[in-house]
Amino acid sequence: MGDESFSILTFEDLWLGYLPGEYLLKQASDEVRTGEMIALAGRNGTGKSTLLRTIAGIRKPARGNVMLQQRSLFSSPPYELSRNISFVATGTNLVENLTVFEMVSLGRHPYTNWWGNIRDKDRRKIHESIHFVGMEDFTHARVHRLSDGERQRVMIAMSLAQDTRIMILDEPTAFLDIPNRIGILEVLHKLKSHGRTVIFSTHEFDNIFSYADKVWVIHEQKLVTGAPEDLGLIGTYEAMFSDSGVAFDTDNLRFLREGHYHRSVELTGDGILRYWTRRALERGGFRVSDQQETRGLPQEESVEKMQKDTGETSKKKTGENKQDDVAAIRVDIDAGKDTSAWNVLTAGTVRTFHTLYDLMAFLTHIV
Amino acid sequence: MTRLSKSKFLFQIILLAVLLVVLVGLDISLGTVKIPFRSIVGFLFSDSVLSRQQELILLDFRIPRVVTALLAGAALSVSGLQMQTIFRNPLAGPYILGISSGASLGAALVLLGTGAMATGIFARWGIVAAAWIGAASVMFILLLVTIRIRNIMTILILGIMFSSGLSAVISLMQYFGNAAALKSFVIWSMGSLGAVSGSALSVMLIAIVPGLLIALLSVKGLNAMMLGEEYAGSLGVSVRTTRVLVFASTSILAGTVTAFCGPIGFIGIAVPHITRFLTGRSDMRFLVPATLLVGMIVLVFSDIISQVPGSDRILPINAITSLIGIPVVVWVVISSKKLFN
Repeated sequence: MGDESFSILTFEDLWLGYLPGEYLLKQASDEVRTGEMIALAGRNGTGKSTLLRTIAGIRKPARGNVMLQQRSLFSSPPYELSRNISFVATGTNLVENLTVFEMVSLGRHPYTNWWGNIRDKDRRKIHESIHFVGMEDFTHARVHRLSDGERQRVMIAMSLAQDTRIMILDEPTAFLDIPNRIGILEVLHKLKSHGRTVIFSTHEFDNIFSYADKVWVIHEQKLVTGAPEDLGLIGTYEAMFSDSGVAFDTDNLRFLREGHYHRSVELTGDGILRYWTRRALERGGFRVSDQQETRGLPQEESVEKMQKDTGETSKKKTGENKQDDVAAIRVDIDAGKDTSAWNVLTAGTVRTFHTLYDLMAFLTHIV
Repeated sequence: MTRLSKSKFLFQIILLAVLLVVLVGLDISLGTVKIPFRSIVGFLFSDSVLSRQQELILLDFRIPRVVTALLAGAALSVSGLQMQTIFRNPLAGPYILGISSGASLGAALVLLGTGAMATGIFARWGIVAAAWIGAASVMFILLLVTIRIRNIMTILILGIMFSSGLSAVISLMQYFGNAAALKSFVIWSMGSLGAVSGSALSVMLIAIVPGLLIALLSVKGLNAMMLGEEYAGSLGVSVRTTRVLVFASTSILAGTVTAFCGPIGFIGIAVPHITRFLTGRSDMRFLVPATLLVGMIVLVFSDIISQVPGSDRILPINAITSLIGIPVVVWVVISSKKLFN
């Protein structure tokens, strides 16, 4: 693994599609380096799985080629390919009655004889792989009795036992709860530090921003590549969702519901109380004007800033909203020692609430 | 397999083999003329302790019959296991998906086409070859269908329709056949383990042994195919080669048995499940040899039942295997979560 920036997999002018003349992806080119962790994102049906299958050598592209160190994947003998690239599909394959050990040992196929005989070296590798994903206590358990998270770990162990330099995983964290999701990503990240190259697809942006060295986004049949932050800078994430009623808030790496914010609220207070209050208000469809941040700024700019924060882009709406925008509702956070309260000032009266639930019930009611 | 499970595997295999030997002994000694088990063992290892009549019965009837049962049991159950694996369908089997009907149609074409002349060794091979072609054609159509349709139930229903369609064609052919041809066809179609002897048995042996060997050769591929073709491919297994091997093996095995014994139902579909249930394994390196043994056990057992110990009637073997197999299939349908996903 001496040379860290060694290019291992390249593709140039790759076209993918199922029907002649209809392409999912056009002219995709990139180079994968040893030890990189690459996340692939894109809306449903944009061809993420197809791209992963193609660079795993499972299906041929409509045009172009994928090279594993100067040699085309599609002209390599299957056993050679299987010693270099492993693939884990979406979801888990349930094979009843197979133990974790037996399942993982299938990963040794590229190295075993015609009968699939497991030798000592293979056995060691299998145990190592099971240990690596933290499933050693389940070595002799039957796979169909495991939970989704455990099964996903077994699938990764199988792919690890295959001992390939490149691991490709199609949505490895789909259907998993947060601890399992993080657990899987930590395992993949650990692999990277062992010199493996990991390519995975995901719909979760925090996965990308926390783990990936590089991101591939498929958008409008093009493959956009770069560091996750590079794509943020050039507005790829906003563009991905521009026609979908969802806006990407680059400041907070959060998705906002477009057209959802129809009233403004002025909010005072700070710290964790402010954070959660703001989230509750936004969920209820209120744009929060930042008292602290906007203090001292001219009114015009403040409105603009508010729109940017919430991803509100429609100019027409701004005009309509202006009448009630002038802080018709104001929420003051009264941070107490043990309990906190929210004072709502509207139409000249003040009401006090002790939970965000009550506050939101009131606000949603008056609007 | 870990070392521990390897020794357990040998133990289970030996246990099955012992059970098989006992049943074979029973099957040989039971019948209209009872031949004591001890005298059979004596006959096999030293010189004759049997009467001339007993010796004739043993050599001309009982032993060919039990060898036929062993071959047919092994062939049908291994072909069922292979089909269940490559179709990834727990309800696949040569009988239910119409492979046996395809073989029947092939055999019917020869039997009804050539009249009653189909008795010599040449005609024997003719029937076998026609049955292979019939079985392979159905298998081929099924493979084409499964490329497009993944739903287990849909394939199953198509298989049943296919099988019924072929049976309808066969009955139409019977209607047009001449009396002598019809008679030989009807006798064939009733199916029996006792009808195979002498040269026919050697033809059956020559066909089935390579079929079983091919199945053993494809064990590694079958193991990978359990995970689906995509995984098999990325594990370096040639999906095409495995498919061709399984295709050839299944057609030879199911085709040959059907050609000689007539249609025998539910062994192919039920035995792999009985084996999985008894041993708790799915690893093909274990399952293929174990299924082979259990298939032999079940068919020899069915043969014993069909002779109705204590009477001189012989019941049709197909009825017995159906009565044993159907409850297993019902159990699989009810207990399998996979079918409804």
